[in-house]
Amino acid sequence: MLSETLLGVDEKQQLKRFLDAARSALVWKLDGLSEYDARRPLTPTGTNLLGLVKHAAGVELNYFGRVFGRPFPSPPLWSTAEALPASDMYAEVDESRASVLSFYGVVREFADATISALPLDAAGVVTWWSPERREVTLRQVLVQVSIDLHRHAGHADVVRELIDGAVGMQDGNTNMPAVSAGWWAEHRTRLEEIAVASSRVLKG
Amino acid sequence: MASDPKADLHRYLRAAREALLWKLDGVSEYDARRPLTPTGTNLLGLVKHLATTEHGYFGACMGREFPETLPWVARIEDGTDPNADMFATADESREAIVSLYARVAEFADGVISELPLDAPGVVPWWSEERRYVTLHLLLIHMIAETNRHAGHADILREGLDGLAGLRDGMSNMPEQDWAAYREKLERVAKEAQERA
Repeated sequence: MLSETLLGVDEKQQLKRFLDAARSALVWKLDGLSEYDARRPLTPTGTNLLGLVKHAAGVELNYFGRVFGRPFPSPPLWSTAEALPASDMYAEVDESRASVLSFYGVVREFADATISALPLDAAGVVTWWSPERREVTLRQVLVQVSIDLHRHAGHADVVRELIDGAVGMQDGNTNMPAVSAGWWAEHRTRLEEIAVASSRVLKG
Repeated sequence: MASDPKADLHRYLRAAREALLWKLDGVSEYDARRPLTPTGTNLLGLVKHLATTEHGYFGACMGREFPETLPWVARIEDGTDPNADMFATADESREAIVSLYARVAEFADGVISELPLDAPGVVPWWSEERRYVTLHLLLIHMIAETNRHAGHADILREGLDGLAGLRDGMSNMPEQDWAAYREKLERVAKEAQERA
């Protein structure tokens, strides 16, 4: 049985902190980029930083809304079942970066209100999941959404690094070894050499 | 339907590990190891890193001991090779790294099964005010960390050969003409830049 407080930390607060870490990392990854770099697709399926934020807004709006019978007021078309494929994964020309970020702010407040209002074992239904899985609790949804956003924050990490070399886990806490840019260049060269050598060994 | 919080968290951790390993499936020895970002991020290194992290959090931090020594941990701690867990050396085969991750996972699964979620632990390298933790916190931490690194693997793998998706057998991506979609996004990005 799970105690309500773990070493004095409220379980809901604990889960919420992980959600917040992913949210702030996703938004931070956009910092200081040009409009083009914020939006340019970096993979064959178009992964881009501003699109990841827009997607996160759509995810939170649905999971902390409809699932618990608290639908988000006038959800944008791209966040609904009628949306075109992957239309939540990029911002249109007439959607400014500021408007996407501010919309995500509104959605976060909306989601936070659901999280505050309901107990962790509050029941919800994810209507777009398979029948045997769709009955959930707020506890599960908090973890599920957090997982989704952390995976997308991982996408943002690599996309951002490919754009301008900026790296790190969180604003103010990179969680990377404190070494020089030159060290990384040498490190990368060393890894490339190992990779080449390893593939030669296998080919005999 | 009643759900067991520990079983749910454990399942999420397993799913994240599986997603990460799947990203290695079918790539050549070179592609498994080649550094694809300026700081050298590579698929096999992510597996080695997560094996190292889990061995620490569910081992020493929870007062348990993983029965093997990971020799690169000392080189990270003494600063001789601060990123030593993020790549496999030429002497370490892919099989050796993947099998280490499996052994660490089995060990961690045992610890998770045996201890209650409120079992206390200590992470000595965290700040004084954060280091006194529970199994619950470390489980969530590892789920978040594994997913973030699986996100790295997603982009690396897609860059290598175009394979994308959430997990083996379930891409969670719509069917569409992705080349045309990407072209549209590139156009939109350029137009937004011109307007700015």
